[in-house]
Amino acid sequence: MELFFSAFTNGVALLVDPVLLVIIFLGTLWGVLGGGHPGGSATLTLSVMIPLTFLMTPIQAVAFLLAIMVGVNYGNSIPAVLLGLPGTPSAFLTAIDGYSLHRKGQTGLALGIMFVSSLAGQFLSIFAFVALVVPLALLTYAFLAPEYFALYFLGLVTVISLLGRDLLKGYISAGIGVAFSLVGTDPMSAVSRYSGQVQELRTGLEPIPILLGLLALSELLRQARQVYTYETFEGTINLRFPSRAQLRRCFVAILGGSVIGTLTGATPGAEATAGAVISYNQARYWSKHKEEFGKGSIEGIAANEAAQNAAQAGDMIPTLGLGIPAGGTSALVLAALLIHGIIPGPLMLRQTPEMLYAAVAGMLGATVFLVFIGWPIAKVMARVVSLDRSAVMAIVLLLILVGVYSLDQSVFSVGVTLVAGLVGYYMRQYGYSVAAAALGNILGRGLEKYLRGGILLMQNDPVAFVTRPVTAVILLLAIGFIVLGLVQSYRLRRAV
Amino acid sequence: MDRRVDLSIAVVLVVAGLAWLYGASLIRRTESVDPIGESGFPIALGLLFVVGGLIIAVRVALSLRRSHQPAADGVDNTDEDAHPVSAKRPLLIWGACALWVLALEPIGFLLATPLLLAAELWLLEFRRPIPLVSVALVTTIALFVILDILLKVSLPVGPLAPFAGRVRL
Repeated sequence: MELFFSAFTNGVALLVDPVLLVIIFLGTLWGVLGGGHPGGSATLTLSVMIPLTFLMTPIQAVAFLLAIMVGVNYGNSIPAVLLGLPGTPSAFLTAIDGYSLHRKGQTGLALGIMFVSSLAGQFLSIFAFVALVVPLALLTYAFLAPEYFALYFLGLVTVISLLGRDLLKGYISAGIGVAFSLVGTDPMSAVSRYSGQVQELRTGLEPIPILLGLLALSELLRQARQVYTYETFEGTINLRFPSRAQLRRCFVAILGGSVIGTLTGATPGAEATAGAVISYNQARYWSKHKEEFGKGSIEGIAANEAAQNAAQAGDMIPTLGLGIPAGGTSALVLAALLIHGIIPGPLMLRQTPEMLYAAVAGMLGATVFLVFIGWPIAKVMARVVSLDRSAVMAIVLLLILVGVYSLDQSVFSVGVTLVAGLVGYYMRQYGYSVAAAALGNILGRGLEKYLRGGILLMQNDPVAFVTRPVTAVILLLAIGFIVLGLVQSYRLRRAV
Repeated sequence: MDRRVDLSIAVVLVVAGLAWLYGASLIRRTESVDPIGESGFPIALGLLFVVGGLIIAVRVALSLRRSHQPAADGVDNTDEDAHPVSAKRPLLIWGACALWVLALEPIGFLLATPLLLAAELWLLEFRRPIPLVSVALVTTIALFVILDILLKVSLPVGPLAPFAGRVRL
């Protein structure tokens, strides 16, 4: 309980630091602008800025990264409303209803509902985030190597089972990520593996260049398959803010969306899109105006926006509380924290709670900034012609390469990003999940270390390893997800 | 997506898995009490690639025989329907990036980067000469100023070292 209250008070206390405030403001602004560009995506917006965090203190880096995430989740719906193109996949339902309203000349109504529900979703989920993440600190002394192995295993299979349509390709994808993480020094005996005579491979491959390749570069290469400009709507734009009655009508949808979004966000593999879809359907079920859904429903926009913004804070629960990223974007955040020497998990919450305070400061500060700048930015973006897609893609690609180079001033790291990017591009094209590969890369080393360390701890008795009560429960849960994934994969194959 | 490429990727996976297993056989084992050992995980991973690749290959081959349709299933088509697709463009852009990596240290950031940007923009059909050159030069100079001069991230300057040395001061 003490940590729960101190997370808020200390988080707010951090916000009196003017340098941190500026960093959070810049992160929020960058997030809105990046997310507000069609195809910008959370991963790309975050990727470009990760190298900059190495010039910051760990507290500033955590707050900055989370402020970007908050900004992206707000910004991604602006092009969804104005162009019918979601900035990120989770805003695709806003693109349907929001764009319909925009075409009817009710742009202000769509943007206003989006503004209020996004912020409400953010605020509510920050409280849920702290309430759910703090109890995880109690696991510090209950968790030894076997429990950590089981947890990492669960994180991996959950994502594979929930993300992919083809379970086998999902496991192979995770295997590709794990393979990258096995290069270099053995975690138990310091023997060199797969490094040959290459000096740079001896110490292993850093996760950031690999993740930026797998997630960001591959996405840019995929987008480069087509060249086009966005069509803009030429009609009149009415930017009047929604009335109180209209906002009141959305209250239930916002509340439902916030709860569903937080819970789905906290489930590895589910991510914001799943939460947004469930909330949208739930809002339609509860609504008295079901016929409006898909044709410009303000409740639909409210549910979708509240859920996808709440999911972002939910995402951080397993990421910071257990060290298990819930998806590709949170894998990037986790990798950045690891390079800063921060190892997210129950131990971090107990030993360095400042990181939790920094997370609260980042999310809370960014949300407060959005209260003041969110609506003006949305109004300005409604009048600004969209940027040239080709120029943005070329510059973002360069920023990623230069960013990787700046990590350790090594062209070898940039080469690793290029190789991972090409692998990721083909993975995307042929149904192999890059998010699973990213997770495999982040969790792979720990998975091996805890399995081998745990077996040694249990004096080479595998039965004692798997029958420790907490380990057994987590492993059973993991088996449950494997079965679920198999059933889902089988059904989808039969349906084709 | 073409199922024949899907099949080729499955074959590549099998070959990569075999190579990975060969690599695992070269790992030196220490005399520790660790029952899994240094090569346990790599072997498991190699087997996943080989067996997984074989299963996918057989599955794709069977579906090809059944339907004679070259389109792969289970793969989301993420391309926009209304616009032409170029499968070569991403590879050419990747090649330009690879050349940039190779040229970065010999010719320096200030010469290699505008060339990379110009090549990328050209490939992405941004071909108006003045905007193309402007974007390439302005972005390069802005990045150099921000990273090298303000943030003190040392970027390679190649033959422009004497000039860059004066600017850095």
